[in-house]
Amino acid sequence: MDKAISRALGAGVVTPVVATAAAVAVELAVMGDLPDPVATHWGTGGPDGFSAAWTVPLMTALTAGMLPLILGTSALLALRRGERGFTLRLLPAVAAGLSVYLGALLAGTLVIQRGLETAQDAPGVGSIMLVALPAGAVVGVLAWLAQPRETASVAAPSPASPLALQPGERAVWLGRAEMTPWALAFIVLATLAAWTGAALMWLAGDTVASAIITGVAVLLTALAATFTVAHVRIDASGLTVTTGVRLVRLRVPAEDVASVAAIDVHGLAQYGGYGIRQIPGATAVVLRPGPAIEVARRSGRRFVVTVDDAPTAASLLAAAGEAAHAAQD
Amino acid sequence: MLLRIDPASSQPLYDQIADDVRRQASAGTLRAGDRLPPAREVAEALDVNLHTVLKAYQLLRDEGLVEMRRGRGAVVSAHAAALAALRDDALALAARARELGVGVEAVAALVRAAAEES
Repeated sequence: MDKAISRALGAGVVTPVVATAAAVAVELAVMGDLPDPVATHWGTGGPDGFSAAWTVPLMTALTAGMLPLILGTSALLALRRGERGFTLRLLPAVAAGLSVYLGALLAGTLVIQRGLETAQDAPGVGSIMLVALPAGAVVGVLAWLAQPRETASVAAPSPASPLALQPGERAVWLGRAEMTPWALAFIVLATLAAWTGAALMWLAGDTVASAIITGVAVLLTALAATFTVAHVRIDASGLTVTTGVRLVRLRVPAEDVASVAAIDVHGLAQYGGYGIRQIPGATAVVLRPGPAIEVARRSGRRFVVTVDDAPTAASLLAAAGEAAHAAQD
Repeated sequence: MLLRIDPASSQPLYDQIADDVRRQASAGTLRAGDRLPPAREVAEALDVNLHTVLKAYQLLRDEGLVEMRRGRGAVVSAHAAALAALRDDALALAARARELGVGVEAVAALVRAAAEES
């Protein structure tokens, strides 16, 4: 097996599985010795949140196990397609560090409550943090170092051939990029839940809590309106991407277009997530996996935006870039 | 959706815009349920009058290729599949006409005459 793949497998899949299994094993071992309920949340003045003990192994499996595994496997899938790069080395390292940190933290919170009469007496979690945080950081750095530094081995995408336009002919390509229906449904539900929570809090008369939750709901609504849909326009002046509500507007002027290609993009593996992403050397508006256009700017930076019918969009932008260069010369 | 117009052409601008939509429906790049961009956006991008774009959309609606829906704007109808089904016939006819040295305008006139006869 290729070194990049085997090391990423170790960091992004094996480490989270082992760390989670170890944490859950420790939690189950101390389960008989615990107060019921156990403390699961600490404020400045000691424990302030309590749950049944069995919820802790479940949370461990979800946060220290599932979440890092999703990060790790998404990187592995991209590596197996032959992709290499900064983000693909970072994701498995983050997965390894995160699982060790969260596993140690969650298991530690149960270990310190062994033999207590009531969870009210639980000591602070500062000491657990002092162990869990460095442990996660060290494992994360080691996982980063263990993986080979390889730059993208995939061939650069072949540039689109410019659309042939008659002199005087005007052309525009208008398209939209949308999140997948599932992601969209999740965001809409989360936003609705926040508003419902805010309404309930106002009814309950807790002014501070209701103000905070209303703020969260407003923020979520703005984010949902901004990052779930983008309008893409290509014309003689270049490329314009505008988000749903016109909060964000990104432009690549035609004079700045060096080359354009239609590509397939994978947000999580290549840009560490979805939305408007910045990574070294590139800016990307990635709202879903799949077809996208990649613009190489004259500065060498890349700009990527997901669109349907990417080949047509790429060829028109290539034509606009060519026309702008011809006009300059 | 790609729209291209040639202001120097003798064909009216609204008809050129409508042709772009028809062409993409027949090529299968526009399918039933796809949304056409707002007329104002198209007018701005192509630097033409808003009424020119609205007239094109109106024409497509009269043909049944586009439906106007409140709140969603102009949406491609199921009629797009019919245009897509005719594409192979159109390509074959165009190829045959080229072979025989018959111009596009003449072929269009023949099709029009044939439609009127039957």
